[in-house]
Amino acid sequence: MINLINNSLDKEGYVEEIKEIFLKLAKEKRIRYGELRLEESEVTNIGFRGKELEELSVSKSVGGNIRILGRCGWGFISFNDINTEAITDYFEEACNASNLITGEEIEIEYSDPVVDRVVFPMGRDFRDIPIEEKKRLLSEHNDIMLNFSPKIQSTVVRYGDRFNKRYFINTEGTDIVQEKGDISSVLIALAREEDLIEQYHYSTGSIEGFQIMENLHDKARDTAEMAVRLLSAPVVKGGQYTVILDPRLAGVFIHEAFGHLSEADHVYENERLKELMLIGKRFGPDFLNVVDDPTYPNLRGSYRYDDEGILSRKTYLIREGILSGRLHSRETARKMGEPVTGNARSINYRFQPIVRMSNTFIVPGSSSFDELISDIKHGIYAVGAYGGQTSMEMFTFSAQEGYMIENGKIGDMVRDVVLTGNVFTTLQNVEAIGNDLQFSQGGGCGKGGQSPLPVATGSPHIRIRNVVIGGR
Amino acid sequence: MEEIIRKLKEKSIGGDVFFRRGISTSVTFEANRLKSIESSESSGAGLRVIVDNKIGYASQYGVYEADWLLEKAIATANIDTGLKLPSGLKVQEESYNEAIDKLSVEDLTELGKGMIESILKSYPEVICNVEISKDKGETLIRNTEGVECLRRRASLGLGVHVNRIEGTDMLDIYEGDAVKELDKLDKERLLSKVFTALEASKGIVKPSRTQIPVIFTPKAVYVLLLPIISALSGKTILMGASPLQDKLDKKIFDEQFTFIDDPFDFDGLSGTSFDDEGLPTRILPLIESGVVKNFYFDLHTASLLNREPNGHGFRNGLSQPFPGLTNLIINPGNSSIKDIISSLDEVLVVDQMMGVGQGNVLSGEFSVNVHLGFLYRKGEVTGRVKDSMVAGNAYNALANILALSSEREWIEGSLYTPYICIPELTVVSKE
Repeated sequence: MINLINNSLDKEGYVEEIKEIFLKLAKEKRIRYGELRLEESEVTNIGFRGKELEELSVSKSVGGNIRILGRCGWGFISFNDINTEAITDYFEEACNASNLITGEEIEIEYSDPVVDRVVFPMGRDFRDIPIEEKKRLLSEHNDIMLNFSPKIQSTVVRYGDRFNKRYFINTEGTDIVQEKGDISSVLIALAREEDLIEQYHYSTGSIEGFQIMENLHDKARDTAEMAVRLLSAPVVKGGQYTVILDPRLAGVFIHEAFGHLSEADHVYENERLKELMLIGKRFGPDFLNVVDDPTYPNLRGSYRYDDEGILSRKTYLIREGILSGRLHSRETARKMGEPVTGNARSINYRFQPIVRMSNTFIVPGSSSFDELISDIKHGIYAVGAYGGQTSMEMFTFSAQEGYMIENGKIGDMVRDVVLTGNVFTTLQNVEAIGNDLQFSQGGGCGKGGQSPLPVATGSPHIRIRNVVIGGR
Repeated sequence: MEEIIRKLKEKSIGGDVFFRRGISTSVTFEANRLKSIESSESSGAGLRVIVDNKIGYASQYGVYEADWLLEKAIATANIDTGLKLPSGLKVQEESYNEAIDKLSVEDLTELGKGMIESILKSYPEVICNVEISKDKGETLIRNTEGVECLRRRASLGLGVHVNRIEGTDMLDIYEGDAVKELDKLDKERLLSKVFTALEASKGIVKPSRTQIPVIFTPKAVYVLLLPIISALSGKTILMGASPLQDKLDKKIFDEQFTFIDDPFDFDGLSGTSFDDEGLPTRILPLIESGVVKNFYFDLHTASLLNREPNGHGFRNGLSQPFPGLTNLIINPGNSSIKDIISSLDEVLVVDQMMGVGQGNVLSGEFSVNVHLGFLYRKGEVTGRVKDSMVAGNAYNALANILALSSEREWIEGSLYTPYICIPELTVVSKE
């Protein structure tokens, strides 16, 4: 028995031995499809709350899982005590679980074996940067916000970096190692005037390295300024409006409004939903194009292979207003008779891969901002994003700030702008699409208890009519 | 763990070690049939050290290495603190329910199948997704001052999602329960809630005006509590960002509103006699008859604020301790929910929402989509309300409560609450 020495997978021949045991067992048991995943990661977290350093910690993790396709379902086990003896037990358990499922047989799409090693290069590798330097930089951002105005009551600054190495093998002979670094960070300023407290945040993230953290001083200043400005903004009046969404909010909009409904695991077993989501059905105007693209370079949702070992690719979800594709796992693709797309992802080894988005965006059109706004008599310009949620048919998304639009001009600021829509009408109500595509990388997506999954959302400015906005 | 404590003592460094281990088994039904069986084993440890009044922290998932944790925790000691580690508490707390522990995968599967069959028998057109999981966990805290606390828990969780599509109208009902004793699992109650919602959703209706009374069901009450829970946290107090900052012993809310954190409530899943820092817990009245009574702290936050710690330092996985709560209890009112609904000409009953917490939570403002809500006129349900937003301010709402129901329900084993009726909120619907 080999035990994990120093709790790391990076030991000569160690992973190879675990893989061999897995493949031998799979062969003996005549498994039709099985996967083994091993993973290790190292995390640094730093945070300030007001003047106080709140968090400075490091963490590491080693773990893995085995997933086996039985006749009628999946057996899955996750673990973080890895040794050559235990792997045999884990295998047995997953195998037994898969055999307990009876009923209707399931099938999956198979693929040709791939052997590859993928390393996402970082500009400045955060692992080479002393924790003191990271802390110093964050404290600069924090000080800029704290010193912006006496109305700034407090701040929150959070930074996390995670380096992750994943080993994936399956019974098709695929053998992939993927290494990736991921940074996520948020700046929050709280402004106070008597009992009124307002906040503004700027969140960002990247797989490109620590250099993205070096240019946030202006963002820190803007964040503090916006928090103070919100103090004098009234709550928006609820009603139905023509709205312009800025690229950050429009990205969240398309993720919630349509992205989730494109995930085939919501659809593939639901006959009525399948009828509503037929390929070729119109969902929006001719100029609406929506894409999910994990091959888009250097975004947080970028990857080469998904967590079922399928090569990633670009998928048009809506092309010229027509539903033209959806996101699949091996199982959903087979069941629906559509090609795999490489969108089965899991946030870590504790979870089974499920169908997820990657980098999802609205393809830019031709309108300038002035063209979008000029003929709006009474509307709202909604900017920045707190987040969104969907139930497939209905969805919500909230802005960080809003501005009244009166006779084609941007007017007074309003706050607490939360918008809602319905997938069968709101997309049809998109009136124009801007030419200024931007991606946001500060958000994480949650689904099936797996959150936050790194994704990117993108869009130019867009204009939509008849959007319901809540308010007092 | 002993090794770590011994080494800390050799170096004359104060600290605590937190160890967690869990085993869980779950079965997942997708579109009415069993799809996957899953098990998980996890363990890990977190080490907090206090070196010259500075906190350092390191954690490790998987088999932990004492030397790595020590080295990293000491190297990260940067956070100024005045916290004093508690001493002496030695507790072994067991809340293992054998009946839950003995449930096999087959038992879980039968339970799920039974639920789905009951639903499909009456409503063959719906699609059910069910997840049932059995969890067993162990938490151990030791520190250099002699604290040795062990907590063992087992629980059973059941989640049901029912989907019905008619034309382009989608109805999704979510019900669930989490218990630590098998005989507390009330399948019938859960099923009857699903049936009631399916029956009530037979037509889509709109409120007659934008300002109407709104009842939040136990499942929906959280949208009103979230700002209060945030405002009472020691972390928010520390930032000077709490609207309740200087309101201790002042009456801010309706006098019908009493909100308590009760770690000893037996039916709650979060009950415990000690917190995740090894301090004895206590019943903490948060709001009593509308009066703000207590904030809640972990050790570090209490020390920065010069307050007495009150046994509310909890952790999320292997995170550092933060101010946290256990079983949240809201006192009931006198009238039954049926009587409250009947007493109103028109009322929106909100059961599921989307967008909770997406916004400036501290200010109390909320604006949420009515994901599942029903309109009642003079006690009779008239149909489902959708494509609508309900908006208001939680502070205003809880300062002026029309009624709390006499019935209460547990939500996810952590909140025990009545229905709450607010006399007037703004509901905006699609024209």
